Parts: sequence; structure tokens; C-alpha cells
Amino acid sequence: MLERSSRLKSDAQDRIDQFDERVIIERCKAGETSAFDELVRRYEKRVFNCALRITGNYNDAADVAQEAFIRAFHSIQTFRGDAKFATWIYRIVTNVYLDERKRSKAHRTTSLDEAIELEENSVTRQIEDGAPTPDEVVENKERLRALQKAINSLPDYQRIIVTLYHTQHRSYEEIAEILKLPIGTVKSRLNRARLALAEILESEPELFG
Amino acid sequence: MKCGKVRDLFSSFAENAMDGKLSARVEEHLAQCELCRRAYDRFRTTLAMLDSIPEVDPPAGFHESVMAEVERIKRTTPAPVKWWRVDWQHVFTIRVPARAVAAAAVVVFLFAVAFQFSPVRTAVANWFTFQKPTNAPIQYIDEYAPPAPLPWNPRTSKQELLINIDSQKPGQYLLRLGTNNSSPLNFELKVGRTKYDGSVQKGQSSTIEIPAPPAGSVVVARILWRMGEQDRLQWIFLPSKLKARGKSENAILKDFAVYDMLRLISRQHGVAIIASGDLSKKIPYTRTDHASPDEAFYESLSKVGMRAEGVAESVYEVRPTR
Repeated sequence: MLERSSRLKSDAQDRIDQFDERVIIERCKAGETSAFDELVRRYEKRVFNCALRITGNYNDAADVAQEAFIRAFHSIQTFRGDAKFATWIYRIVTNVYLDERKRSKAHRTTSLDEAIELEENSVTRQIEDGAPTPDEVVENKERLRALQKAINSLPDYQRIIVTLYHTQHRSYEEIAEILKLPIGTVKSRLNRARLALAEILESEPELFG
Repeated sequence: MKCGKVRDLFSSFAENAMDGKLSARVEEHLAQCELCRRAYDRFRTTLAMLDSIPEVDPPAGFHESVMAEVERIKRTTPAPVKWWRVDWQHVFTIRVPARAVAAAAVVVFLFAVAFQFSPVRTAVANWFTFQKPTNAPIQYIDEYAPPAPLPWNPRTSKQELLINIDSQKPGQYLLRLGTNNSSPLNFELKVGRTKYDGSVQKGQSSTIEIPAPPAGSVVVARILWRMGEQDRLQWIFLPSKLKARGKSENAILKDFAVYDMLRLISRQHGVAIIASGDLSKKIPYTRTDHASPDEAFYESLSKVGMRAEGVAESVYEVRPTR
């Protein structure tokens, strides 16, 4: 079955991190730019990757991620700390994305160049890791491209839930809190999204056969 | 158990998150139904793939770009001084030199008296009440431009003032005002401290020369025109130079009045804008990412019940939605 627990840190470490983070956030509220710098450093990778999977392309992801941090900076005073900062920032990311979507009448387009850029990036990573053979690299690249395309075709909320669960490793409870949805709704939408993805990916048996 | 129901349970089944009895029924169904078994295999493959999506690094310079924006915001919005941080004791124990205060009061009084009778007062009053008709010099400068058909026609009313913006001559704009109405239409046009009064009617337009502002700024012409009892105010935003359409830049608008936004868009996109309606309305947070002027207008204006329309190359019209 799914090995999610291995990704989760131990409770104690988690509590230390959270305390540390509360101190940083207090410093941000007091107007220390260096504290916000630290906060961005801690979350930029997560925020960017979340935005990348939700928007489906590199450029929009950078814009959404930056905008999310700017909104966080504007409203850090209103962050009360009863939720985790991660939950709060993910909520901002999804709100920024949904606002942008509402704003742009035109539908999202994923240009081929952007998709390639994205893949090159992950390809270099994989080569640096040293493990896969060139054939596997090509195949992984193709798979990732097909997978992202399939994710892009999901409705907004399903795509966001898939991203938060599978790439950001958020629990059902946390996703419900981020999106302000009942847990049951989160679960059923995730199931529907997974079924839809499986359906789409079945049409490419050479990659996923 | 039906296939549809089983598939609804795939996630819970894969995550071992259902009670043993239900789980056994799903297993039983999978053992019998070839289609669902294949679907479940696919489902599991999909989960594995989703879990193995690699993380990528943010683009180079991302961190710096976020922090540069944060620094910029910090510089432009001064931190509010909180009342509880003020040293109140100090405020009430400040020693004030009584003679200096008395002297200052006398100076202010004398200045106010002098101001009442000085020509400066008239000038200041004029500046603030430009809507009052005055006897400022009327400048018809028709000789600058040969009469030609106006390039576009507002569709709303026959009485409408027609405005033509000509930027052929570098460093200046020629605004030609005209109307399709046969009775005269009076107007006052004000640019900075310069005012033009005039009237137009069908076949008799009036051309006014407006120097283009220096690079990076915008000049705003205000036109008050009257037809019988009806008054209407229009603004024309003119950038230093009109750019071809399609050039795009970023802008983040927050708590801007429509007026400020139009100035910004005129400057950034190099477009002229003819506007009417309540320009003091505040636009809620809007961000225009590499948007064309059309898009930026459309989005931000729709939030305050106004709309924008391209009426000619690099010229837009903004008005309230009817």
C-alpha cells in the first residue's frame, strides 16, 4: 500500500520546526525583512512545485509562486498561527491561481516549449542522480510529459487536490483546511481525479502498459 | 456490489482505509470482474506515477526576484506608527517657546489677510474651479491640421463630442474636437494650467495643440462640454509617445483610483485613453501580467462597473457600463 508515513517527519522534529517557524513569523510581523527572506527560502521550493503542477507550466508557476509570497508578505499580520504556516501558504497559492484563472478569460495553454523546458529540467536532475539509463530517461521524460498533460486536463479543484496530495504530501485533513472543503468532498474529488487520470493514461499504453 | 460503487471505493481500498467487511466485498468483486480488475491495476499504476513526480528547483533568480519585490513594497509603504508605541509622556511634556508660537500666529494671520487681496488668490481659485467658465483666451488652432474625416464615431449619442488624437508630429498631439450635432456644442479643455474654451458644431471642428509630456510621464487633458443643460466631463490621458499595440509590461494595481490606473496604463503601454465617468473609484487588487492593454483594462475596469474599448491604434475609450 502507499508509503506515506515514510515521508512524514517524526512528531518531535515537526514540533521543533514549528516552534522555530513561529519565531520567524513573529520577526516578520515585527517588520524584519531578513526573517521573511528566511521564510521564503524555506517554502520557495514547495510553493514553486505546487504552482508548477497546478498551472502546468514553468512561467505561470513562477508568477503564481511570486504572487503568493507577495500576498503572504502583505497579510502576514493577519496570520494568527492557529493553522500551520504551510497550510496558510498553500491556501494563498491556490487562491492566487484561482484568481488568475478567473481573471484571464482565455483558457490555460501549455506551450510545447514550456513542457520541454520543464522536462529538460527534470531530465538533468535524473542524469545528475546517475541512476537511470538514457532509454529510461527518455521514457521517464515522456511519461512525465503525458502525466502533466493529463493533470492539466482535470478540473481546477481536482488538479489542486491531486497536487496537494501527491506532490506536496498533504493529508486529507490539511487539504480540507487549505481548500475549506469537507473532508468527504476532498476524498471523493481525489478519487474521481485519480480515476480520470487512469482513464486518460490508459490511452497511452506504450508508456504506461 | 456494482462496478460504479466499487470504483468509488478504489482510493479507500488502495489506502487500506475501509473496514474489513467492505474491503472483502471489494476484493470479491475484483476477483469476479475482469474490467474492474484491469481498472484497479491502472488505478494503482497511476497512483505510483503521481507519487513519483520529481521535484524541480525554482527558476534561477526566483528568490532574489521575490525579495526585490518585497523590498520595493517596503520602501513604498512606510510602516504605520502605532499609537501605543508613541511616547505620550514626551508629547505632553514638550516645551514650547511661547514667543515663537505667537510670532508664527501673527505671520500666518498677516499672510492670510494679504492673500485675500492678492492676485494669487484668483489664480488659485481658478485652478481649483476650472469648471466655471472664465474669459481665458480661446485658441482655435485649426490651421495646424487640415480638416479630415474623424477616424471613429462613438456609437452612443448624436450629441457626443468627437475626439481625434493625432500624433503625427513628434513631441506634440493634435486633439481635434468635433461633433455631428448641428447646434453648437461648447467645451472647455484644460491641460495643466492652460485652458481653452471653444465651441464646435457639425462641419466646424476645433483643433488644439498639446505638447507631449517628457518621456515616462503622462499629460491629462480634461474636457468639460455642454449641450443645453447637459454637462459631461472627459479625460484624455496622453503618454510621451504612442507605442504600437501589443507591447506588454507587468503592473500590480492595489487601491488605485481608476484615474491613477489609466495614467499608469497610458504610460506603461504608450496608449492614449479617452475616459469618462467616475474616475475616483478605487479598483480592488489587480495584477496585469504581461497583459495587453485590452486585457488589463477589461479586468480592472469590470471590477468597478466600467469598460474599455480600443477605438483606434493605441487609442482606448473608457466609460461606465450602461
